[in-house]
Amino acid sequence: MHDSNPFETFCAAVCAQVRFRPDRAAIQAELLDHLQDHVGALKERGLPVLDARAEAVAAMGDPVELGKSLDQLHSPLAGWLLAVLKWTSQLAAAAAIYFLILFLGRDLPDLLDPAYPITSRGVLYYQRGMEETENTVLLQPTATARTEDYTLSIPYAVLNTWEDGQRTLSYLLKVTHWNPWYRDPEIDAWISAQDDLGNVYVDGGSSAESGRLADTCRSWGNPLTDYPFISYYDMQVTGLDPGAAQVILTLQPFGVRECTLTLSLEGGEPS
Amino acid sequence: MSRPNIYFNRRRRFLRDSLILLFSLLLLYICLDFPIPTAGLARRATERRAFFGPSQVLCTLEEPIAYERSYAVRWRDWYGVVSIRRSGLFWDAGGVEVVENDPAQALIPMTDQVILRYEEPILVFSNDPNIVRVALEFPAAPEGEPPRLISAVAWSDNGCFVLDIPELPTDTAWTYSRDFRLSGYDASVNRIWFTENPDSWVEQFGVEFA
Amino acid sequence: MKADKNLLSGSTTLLVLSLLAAGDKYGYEMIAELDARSDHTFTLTLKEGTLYPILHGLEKDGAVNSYTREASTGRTRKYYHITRKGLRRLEEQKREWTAFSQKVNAILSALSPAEGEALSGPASS
Repeated sequence: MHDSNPFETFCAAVCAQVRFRPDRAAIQAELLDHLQDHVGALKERGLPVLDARAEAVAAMGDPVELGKSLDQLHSPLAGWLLAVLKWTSQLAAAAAIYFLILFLGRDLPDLLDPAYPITSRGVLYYQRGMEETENTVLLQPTATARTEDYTLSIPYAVLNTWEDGQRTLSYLLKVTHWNPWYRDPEIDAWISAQDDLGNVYVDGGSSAESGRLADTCRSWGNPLTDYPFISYYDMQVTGLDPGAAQVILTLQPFGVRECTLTLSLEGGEPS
Repeated sequence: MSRPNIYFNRRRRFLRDSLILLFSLLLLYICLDFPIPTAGLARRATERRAFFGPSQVLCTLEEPIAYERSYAVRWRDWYGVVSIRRSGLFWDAGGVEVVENDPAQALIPMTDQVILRYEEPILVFSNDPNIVRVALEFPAAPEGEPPRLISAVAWSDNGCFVLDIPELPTDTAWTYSRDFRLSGYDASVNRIWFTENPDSWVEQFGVEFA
Repeated sequence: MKADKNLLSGSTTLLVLSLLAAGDKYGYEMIAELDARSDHTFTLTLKEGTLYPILHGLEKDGAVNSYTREASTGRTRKYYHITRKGLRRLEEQKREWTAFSQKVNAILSALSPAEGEALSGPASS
């Protein structure tokens, strides 16, 4: 209040001993409160203001000694470490919120309403502009296969018989992996098919022993869409032997057999 | 009036801030779509997605073939180039190119077809540890001009040679590995292995180079 | 009336904790209450400043929490609140204090009055 303020001198002397500066303001506020309360109590007892102030300061004791013992408790190292932790966590929180907003704006609509209705059976028709006909048989695949780390399954498969008698197996291949870094493997390039009559279908043409047209008898596909843990592939086997009742799909990259999936071409409901 | 506070319960502060930090980092990681922290992990993820490897790195290419970093690698009977992407502070999986090794050949060029327009180097792997210098020659024939022989040389002691292609005729767009003549030299610059002049030199270019 | 300073300071933590066990208080409130309850013994022997290192130490240990609230006087004050950990510590210190004072009393009463006077004589002169 006046320039010769004994309270401020006292608080400054205490705070000068506290090395961790960020705590000084709070210590000063607490001590000032104390001194003012004490002065208030003394004034009520009828002491003049100036005497009351001097007495309140004297009652506090040696400011340097008080400052030193407070300094021991407000150690700078732990204080600064905590301050750094606080700033870091606030920065990380701000960044997380920023990227969360971006994520919600950009990726969430795709996740909630994917461009391809993956779970619906219409996906393969949608992809190829095909129509469901009386010659379409919906298969009921049940098999799952595991490589060392990937899990393969076929949520949906159809068998189409065209007017010229050619048969095409179309299936949706679902590949899961626990690690999102390993999503979307190049699985579509390495799946070959073999039917129960011994015909082999590979990407780029059938094997010699099948004796069928190389450019129509193929097993091939494309990646459809991928999520962090699940990837979908739009796959097909074309030029299927009319007598075939079962197809074994083999994932064999670089000549190493990873796993096989068996798919029955019968027993499905007519569409 | 706002009053300065001492948040003095340090254990509680530590726990609270640590939790905020942990949760924020987790959220950040998900929102950034699971970036890969190190190049080594990104290379491993790239290989696994291609069902290739785990491979042995022969060298890191100074100029990446694709994306932001490329490794020349070997796995079983295959040589390959694994390229990974940078994604801010992190890495992301890229792609793998492979070529099958032929142990009968001392030198294996990486690609069948090289698009020269992109000024990409040509990578040659060596099966012979004595080879420390590789020379590559192929003909290039610009429109209306006689074909000339382009040659490149590289030194290496780790079995992978990165050959930068010098001064090309302007309209030469690509070349094929079947047109390559490769020579391998030892440390004393003796030619210890070479391929015969490819037939295509006479058949396609109509010229017999020395 | 003036008590030995060392005797008091050892037990100040106990006093502070027992004051807070009765309800949340700010610094001066604690001094005033101690003063009233001890016939000014506390303020005459111990400097008021010593209270704050004790409070800050207790807060660091997690025996008390602090928060800011408007006091009855209308100004904001930093209040201290005893935690469960602080209550346990209070019980512990109470037990120690009781055991200690019982032992002191036992020794004092075991000694004969004459000897007691002889012992205290030179100390008080």
